[in-house]
Amino acid sequence: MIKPLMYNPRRLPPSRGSLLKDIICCLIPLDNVKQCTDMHQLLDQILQGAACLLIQGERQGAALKIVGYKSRTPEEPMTEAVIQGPQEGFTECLDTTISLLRRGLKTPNLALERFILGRVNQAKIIVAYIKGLASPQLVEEVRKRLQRIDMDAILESNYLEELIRDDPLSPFPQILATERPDRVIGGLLEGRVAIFTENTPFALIVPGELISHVQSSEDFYHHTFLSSFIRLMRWGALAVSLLLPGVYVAIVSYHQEMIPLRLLLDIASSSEAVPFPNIVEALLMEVSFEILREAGVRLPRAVGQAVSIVGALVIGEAAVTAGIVSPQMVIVVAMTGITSFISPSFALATSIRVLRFPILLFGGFWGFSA
Amino acid sequence: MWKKPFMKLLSLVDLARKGQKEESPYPRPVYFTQKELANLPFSPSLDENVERVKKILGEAPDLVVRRFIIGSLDVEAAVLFLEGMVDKSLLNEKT
Repeated sequence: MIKPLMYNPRRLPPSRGSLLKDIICCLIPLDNVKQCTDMHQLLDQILQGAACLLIQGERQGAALKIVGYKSRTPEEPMTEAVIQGPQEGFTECLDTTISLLRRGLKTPNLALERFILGRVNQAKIIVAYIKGLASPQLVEEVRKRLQRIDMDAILESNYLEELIRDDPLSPFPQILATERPDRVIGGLLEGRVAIFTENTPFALIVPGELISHVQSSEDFYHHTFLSSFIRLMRWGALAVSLLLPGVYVAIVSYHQEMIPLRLLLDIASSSEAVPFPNIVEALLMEVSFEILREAGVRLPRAVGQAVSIVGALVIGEAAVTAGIVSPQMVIVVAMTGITSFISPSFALATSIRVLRFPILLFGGFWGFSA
Repeated sequence: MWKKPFMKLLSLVDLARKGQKEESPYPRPVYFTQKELANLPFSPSLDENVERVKKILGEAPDLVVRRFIIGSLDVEAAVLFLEGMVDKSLLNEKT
């Protein structure tokens, strides 16, 4: 862009108003050029990665969009892996994200609305919906709630989620966060509204009711019967994940008549050696499992393996042999742990993980009468 | 009788206010509010404009200012950009 300006010997044709306009028209062979009439606009453009051209004697500048900063290429999404189906995920770069959306959804009715939120860092937010499919009231509500936001900076889409959700105090997710383009496109085709935030691969889909959190985009890529079976199983597993420790403790502590005699005798003989009441035993195991899991996320990858082996030995084998917990409790905690990973939505898994504890306490203190 | 502690309190308030007004030993960075930024006009002088951008960005070390002369018009011009944010090959070459 500097080269043609410096070397081009071409004379300018008759003027079109201002010198800058002439230069943009005749001497700058770039596609995305914006005229800036005030300093604020110009600075904004510089900060967004444009090169700004200023000319002696002109009270305006031109912003040339030749962005060249580093950004990630679309990769397989880490949080929502599928076996069959597209393996591409959104990236932190909003332009890439929108281009992935456009590539998968070729309709002139796709509406993209731009919002700029944040006092200090002005984050670009894009609201997407399909005209004619999304209800106008829903779109209007999204606009209204976004415009109400007054914050220094929006760094991740969860900032928005917490500010625009229906019930801020509910432990359950009310908005679906996803980094899969096919998921977003599916949502848009169902008449939902998607919200994309700059600098995060996670897009929000509103409304995100509980059922949509239990659906995976892969369900649609398999045979109907198979997917339906898997979905039902998922609901069952989620119930187990939420209730199993609480129900087990309640039955063993208060409602022994519900257990078949042989099993009851087994449980009684193995918990004879355990010095704690059932509820303490269960809490001990659940808390140590949660700690291991949390530690596993933060651990450097090289050490992770070692810790998981030690963790498995400590909570499994050693705790039982040492007589701190009964083997039945290990099975219960292991089942709960495994089933909590079945949820396709990480947000739902987290809320179930937390809600398990109050249910455990209720079961332990009051049994089924709670 | 109640006046004495009351006056004491007032003097304390004065003291606190004085403390606020005291200059800090560190120079405060030049800070522009959104409103001030929005009302900044361009000047017809190129040097003036470049200086303004430099000042607002706080003499940022990654701000590059390239002055040159537009060949066919014999007019001074400048390109301003942040290092690492733009595509250098597009900026320099592209005929």
